[in-house]
Amino acid sequence: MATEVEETIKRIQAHKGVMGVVIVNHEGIPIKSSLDNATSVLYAGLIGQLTEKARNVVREMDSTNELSFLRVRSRRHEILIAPDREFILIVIQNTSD
Amino acid sequence: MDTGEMSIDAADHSSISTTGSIPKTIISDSVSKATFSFMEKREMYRVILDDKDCTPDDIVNSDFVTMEDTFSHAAFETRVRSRSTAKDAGKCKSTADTGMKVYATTISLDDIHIDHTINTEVGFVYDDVDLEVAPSAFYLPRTMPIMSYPPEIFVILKETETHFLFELPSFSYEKGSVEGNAVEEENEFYQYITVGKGKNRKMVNEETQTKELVTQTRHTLATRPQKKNAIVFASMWDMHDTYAKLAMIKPKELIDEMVMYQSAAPNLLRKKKEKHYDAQFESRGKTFDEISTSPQFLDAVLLTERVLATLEYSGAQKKFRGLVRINPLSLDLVYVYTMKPLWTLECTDTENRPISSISFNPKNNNILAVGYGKFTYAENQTGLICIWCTKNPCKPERLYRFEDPITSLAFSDKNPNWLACGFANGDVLILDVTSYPIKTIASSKRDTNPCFEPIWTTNWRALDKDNEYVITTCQDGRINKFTSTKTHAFICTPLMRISTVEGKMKGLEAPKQCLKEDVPITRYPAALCMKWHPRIDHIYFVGTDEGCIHKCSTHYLNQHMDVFRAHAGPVYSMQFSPFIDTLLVSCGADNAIRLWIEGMDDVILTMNCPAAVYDVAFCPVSSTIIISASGNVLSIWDLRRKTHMPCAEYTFPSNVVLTFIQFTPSGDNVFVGDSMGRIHTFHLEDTPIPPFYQKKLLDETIKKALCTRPQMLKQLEKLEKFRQKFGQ
Repeated sequence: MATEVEETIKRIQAHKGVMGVVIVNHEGIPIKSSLDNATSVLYAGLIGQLTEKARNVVREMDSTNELSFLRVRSRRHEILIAPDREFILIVIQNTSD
Repeated sequence: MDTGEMSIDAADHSSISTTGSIPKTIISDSVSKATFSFMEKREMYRVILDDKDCTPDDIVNSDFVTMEDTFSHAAFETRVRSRSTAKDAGKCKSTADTGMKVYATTISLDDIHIDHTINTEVGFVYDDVDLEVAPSAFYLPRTMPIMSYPPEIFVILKETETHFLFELPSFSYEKGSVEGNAVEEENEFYQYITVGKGKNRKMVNEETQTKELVTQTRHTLATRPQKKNAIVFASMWDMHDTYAKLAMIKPKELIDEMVMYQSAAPNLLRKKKEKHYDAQFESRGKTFDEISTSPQFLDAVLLTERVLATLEYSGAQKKFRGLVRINPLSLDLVYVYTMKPLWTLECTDTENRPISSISFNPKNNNILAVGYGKFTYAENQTGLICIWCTKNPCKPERLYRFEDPITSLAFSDKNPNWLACGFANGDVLILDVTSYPIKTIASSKRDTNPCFEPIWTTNWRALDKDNEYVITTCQDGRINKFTSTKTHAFICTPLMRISTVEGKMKGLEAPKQCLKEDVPITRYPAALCMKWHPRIDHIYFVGTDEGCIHKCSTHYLNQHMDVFRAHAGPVYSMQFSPFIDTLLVSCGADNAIRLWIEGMDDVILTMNCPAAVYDVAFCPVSSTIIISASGNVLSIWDLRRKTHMPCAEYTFPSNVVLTFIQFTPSGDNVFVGDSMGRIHTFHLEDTPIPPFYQKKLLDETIKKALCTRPQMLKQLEKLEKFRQKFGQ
């Protein structure tokens, strides 16, 4: 079971253009990451806050709706965020090539 | 602004430090001398045991200066203390501490210079984050100042409860009362032992000694805890959620016994399960292993992979969804029926597994279920069902493994997450595809389902508004109906059994068979394909492996209504035209595709292919285009242009056999499945623009095809008039 999950993460990383994968638990601590610790902690803190705000936005518009996915596209990369109550899955992708 | 001030301060400090450093060193020497004199005495004694120096170390380590040595009032300190950044915090502190010295002797007041601008917070780490001042969400209500006094002011005095401020209990009691008597007795006894005769008591003097407790003072230095500003955000919905969760925590109730009602809905007959919210699990932080197996994590991974796949396949996806349109008025249109390959749905799990069946989800036609079974009779394969999404061609979104090969699949219309599967060993299963592990809604049992041979087709059919049942056809000619009953059993009831037709049949001209001995054995041919009549509810067509197509009805359980011979070999597939209800196309192992009109006995048109034709499909937007899969050749036929050969042919590399072909509802894209486990998706381009009067065009095409057989033409016209008159 654990190897299947490890394989899932490896598969995501093997996709074209993926620069890193970070999985953050609900306390905001990165529990699995392919980047160095400082960057992971930075991502975890900042993206956690953004997810809270985004979740609030979706819920305010329609109280029965909930946030399922978030994409932040910048000039150099794209950050894919899949939030949940228990964890946040963050994938950083290089879109420029 | 802030940083500017800081730099000026630093310049000031540096100048001061140079002047202040010289007198400090002299004083420090005197201090150090004082300390050493105390320790010198002790240093003289050495403990030597067995020629080894076992002198215990000094308790106070000279490296760590004690508090008394280092304490000094900040007013006397002239050392530079600049604003430290996060990195140097640790270093600054230690150097500052060791630099402090005690001023034991007198200091002239002139030497003391107090700089009020010095930052006395040693080691304080300032966050460079500039926190914005947010407007307060709360404000005090304005109270109007009193302008005038009311004419009468009421003052109400109330008695509060008694508060005892001091209590002094009395030690004297009344003479004659119980306590008084006791006190008198005590007093007498006291007199007796002190002044009276009781004074002469035997006494012994004893010495005691309290144990000496050796104490040692120790000083520690606690580091200042680092603090940093953090932002927390709680929205109204977070509060709402918290209160909702608290309301859900109920004390555990006793489980109810199974309650039986006279005629209850199926869900009442089950034992009542209650939702018991376990609060303690929430507070525990979950480890990666726990999170990674939860379905929410797998869903998140699924969404992420879809998005990641879009990066690679974005051009193909755009074409698939029709975002790249051809201009019908452009001047260089050539009708060559090109098939542009978009992508191939395959992964390591599906390699070399022949595809036996594909079903598209009625609610979301980007999702398809693919069943992998075996192609030839002698193969030994395990079964696999993959649910693919066209948004992610790299990996199937669900993977279910079975022991027996799958032979047919069908999604339900009423419940689009239910998938009915037929296996090569006769089992029928209904799966719920929303779950990641295998979740069966219903499974056929041996006691009602007698089939043990492959189930070739599975179909859903609506009974009434809410209920549906599954119809399957089997290798042994049985057509079964499966229903879910109130007690959740999956019961199989036979609808019909196809039997061999003997003698001469209408339809294709078959070579005359040789005389057989009259052996009383009933043979049941395999029912390979089944299609419901598009207009009449109770009629369905079944194609057998003897090449006959039987027209049966759900009203007649023992007999078919009509039969005709369609092919000289097994009939692999049948399709009705989406534009003309009575037009049926059938394909079979005799390398032929035949068009039939319901009501006419002879074949309208025959199209020959290089190998056995496994599947054929009508184009949903263009009435005259038919696409067929035979061997490793994909043929596109356009009836209005030529019927003796296909308009375009595409040969697949290597010796795969194409087993499945279907158009998407938009008519632009084609899905092709082969015997190596791959599903190719193509985009059909350079086709003629679909005509406006589709039905009329198809009519004309058929009549053109029949131009060499005038009797058939007359028959067709008569049939049409009859149908028009009686509105069939």
